[in-house]
Amino acid sequence: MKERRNNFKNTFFLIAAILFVYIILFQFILPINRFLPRPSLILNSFQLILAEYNIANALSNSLLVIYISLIVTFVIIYANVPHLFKWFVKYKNSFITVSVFKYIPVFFAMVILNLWFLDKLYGEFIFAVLFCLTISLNKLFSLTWKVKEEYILVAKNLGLTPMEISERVFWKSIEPEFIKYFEKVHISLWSILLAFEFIGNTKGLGKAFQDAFADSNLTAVIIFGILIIILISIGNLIIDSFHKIFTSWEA
Amino acid sequence: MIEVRNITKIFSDELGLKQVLLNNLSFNIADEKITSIIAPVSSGKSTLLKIISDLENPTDGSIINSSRKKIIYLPSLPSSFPWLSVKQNMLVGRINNSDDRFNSIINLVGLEGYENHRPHNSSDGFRFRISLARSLNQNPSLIILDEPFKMMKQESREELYLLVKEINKTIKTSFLIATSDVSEALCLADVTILMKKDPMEVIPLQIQNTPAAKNWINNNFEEFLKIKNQIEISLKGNDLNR
Repeated sequence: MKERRNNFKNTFFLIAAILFVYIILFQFILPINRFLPRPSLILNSFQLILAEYNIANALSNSLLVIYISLIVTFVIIYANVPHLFKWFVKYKNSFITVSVFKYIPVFFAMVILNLWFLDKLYGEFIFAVLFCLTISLNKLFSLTWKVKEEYILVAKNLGLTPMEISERVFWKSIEPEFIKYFEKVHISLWSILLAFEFIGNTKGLGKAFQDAFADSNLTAVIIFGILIIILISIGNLIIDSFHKIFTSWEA
Repeated sequence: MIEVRNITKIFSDELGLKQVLLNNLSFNIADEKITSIIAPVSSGKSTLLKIISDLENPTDGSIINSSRKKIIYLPSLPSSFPWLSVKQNMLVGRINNSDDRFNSIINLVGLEGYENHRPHNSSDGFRFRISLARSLNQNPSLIILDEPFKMMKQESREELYLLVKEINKTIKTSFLIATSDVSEALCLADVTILMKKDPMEVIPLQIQNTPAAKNWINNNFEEFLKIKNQIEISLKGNDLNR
């Protein structure tokens, strides 16, 4: 608890220090430059830029895709937990063979799916769910081999069936690390989806970035960036709280 | 009584060559007693214990369990599930015991008041008590402990020696305890079995009714050292014979 409070304090001081340096440097020393806009300019044009680029719509589009995809991924995995570990163990070599697809760049998949589905919202959903599922299953597969042998031996000895062992031992044993990993999935999905929207013709935040980029509007880009940082932080805080409340054990 | 009859275990190594790990081992595990197996490291004792508890198949030989009750195996590292409370841990597996039996086991292992406690940050000793409680709740014919106190502090060990003795005395559960610590085996066991490696050989050493040892060792220190030395020499026998 004390360590957590200290970490929070340190993060707070780091952000305060960066803000202080930013304000001094770009408000007073270098008010005109091509790297960062003046803090006062950001404050003054905040509302105007949000309205100009229709951020409310873009944001609802991106948020919907990101969080529904995360939930769908979790539900698919959770619903199949009893079978997944059985498949991982039974078809270990096949999974290793399939892992050759990791060399396909995500960018390539992004372009292909954009071409297939054009500007359709469900194209974004399919891409986001596929991305989350792939990296989550890959993580789950690697965690499967870390489950302590003692737990498996004891479960077998107590007469649990293979399905029960999957659900009550394998899953429970790796659940905390898997939930924690969802923070990384969440951050990666934000970056990947923004890029997907940027290169496509969708209505999300990535498209707003594309418009701001086309207008060479540095202030808008910075404002969108700040907005995304805040949203990712809130999302990760929610996942972290879920992890601490429901999966607080160390297996 | 559980009879271990002519157990042989042969493994194939990475090159496909056959390695004999256990060679024609036979001995009996007495009912209502604490039996210890003293064996050097890497002598195949964990494999033997897994074969006795039906977690691994022998290449040859058989285990005869006349009571038909379960044989429970507890590995050396803590095996209570940290995601379950003490009570939930105890209910994994067979669950048709009465509340009275459940409560008497909780009291016996010293976990009263901790029924809803989750053991993820607890000491190894506490987690061992949970594993014992869960095992006892299965109403087993034998509980096998595979080097259970290896990672524990001396203070915890002594407490748990007494607990195992107490359980054995109170509800007559048989124990088979594997260890490479001669003092521990002599402290705990009614019957001691030696496993020598290369050639694999089992020498049942009948040390009956060894008392809960600390006092006994203090009062009979010379005798204790004599027995300990004899056992250690037998375990190293294969080296001395070369």
